[in-house]
Amino acid sequence: MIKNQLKHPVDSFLNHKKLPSTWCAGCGIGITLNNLIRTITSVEIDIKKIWILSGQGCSADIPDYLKFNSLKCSTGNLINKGIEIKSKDPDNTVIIFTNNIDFLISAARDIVRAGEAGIPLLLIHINNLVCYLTEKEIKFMTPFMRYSYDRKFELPFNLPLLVRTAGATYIARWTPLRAGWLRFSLNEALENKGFSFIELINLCVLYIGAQARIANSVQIIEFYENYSTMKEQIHFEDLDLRIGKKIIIGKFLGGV
Amino acid sequence: MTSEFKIEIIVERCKGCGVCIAICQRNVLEEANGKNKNEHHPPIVKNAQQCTGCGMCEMFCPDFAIFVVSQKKRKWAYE
Repeated sequence: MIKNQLKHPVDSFLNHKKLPSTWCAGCGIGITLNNLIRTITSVEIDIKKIWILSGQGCSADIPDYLKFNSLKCSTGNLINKGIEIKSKDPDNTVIIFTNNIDFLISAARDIVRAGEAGIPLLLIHINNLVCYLTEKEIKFMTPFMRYSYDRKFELPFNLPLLVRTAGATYIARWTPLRAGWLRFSLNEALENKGFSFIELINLCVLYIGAQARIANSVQIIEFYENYSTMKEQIHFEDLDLRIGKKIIIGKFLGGV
Repeated sequence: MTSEFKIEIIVERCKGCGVCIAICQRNVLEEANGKNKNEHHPPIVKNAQQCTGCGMCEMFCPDFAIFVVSQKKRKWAYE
């Protein structure tokens, strides 16, 4: 077999001996990683002072494949550590990846603290509409009028409204299909001087793809195209996820 | 006549998700019959002359397996 000697343009920022990654084929986490590295190369920031933090679950594997400074935290400690790193040296740029479980445990207390103080962190929340904790806890991210496996009635959190009341100054929500817009948005969020928040709606290929019979990564991308819209004038109360209503994506607050 | 752009595929990294084939507007790529060492079907270039160098396949690849090179300037196409 001929060994491939090709070199990808972003290979100098990757631990390319560990690739291919552990994520499912066609998962949106890889697409965000791809675009995050390209924004970092285009924005003028010191590469030695970038910190990438992650918590639990699939998004915890993100720092494994990068050559930046990184930290894996326990769930409750995630944003707390980010504030610590930022307050030690104000030149550091801190990028935090959270899961639904990380958000449930650590966000409520720490995001209010970071938002009100105006600490410039970038929080990228990967929302796969699934949150399984132990069986008696609330599963708070299933869309309205849908049921989890034990048939409880559920109300999901409206995350952009929640973060806005905490005092964030940049809020956006995208799907992996809008990768160009996502890159534009990451570029603005890295230059923002307050707490900035980007929500990424990324359907899980295993749970939602296989059990709801979407079942294929290409068909999931068709789902993003059919069931999401961009609006110019929005109210933050309308941004929750419901069945029968299209997902509203776009930049909601801040920027130019 | 050869095209200005060349598509390079790192076969060992591919997981065969098929996003690059679906996202291409010009139908340049196609699924291969053979398998790589992890038993996935990587894409192959079907008609290279149709490629406009938009870089969408490069932007949407989750596994850093495909990229587009401009042959005249010897630069990455997306810059």
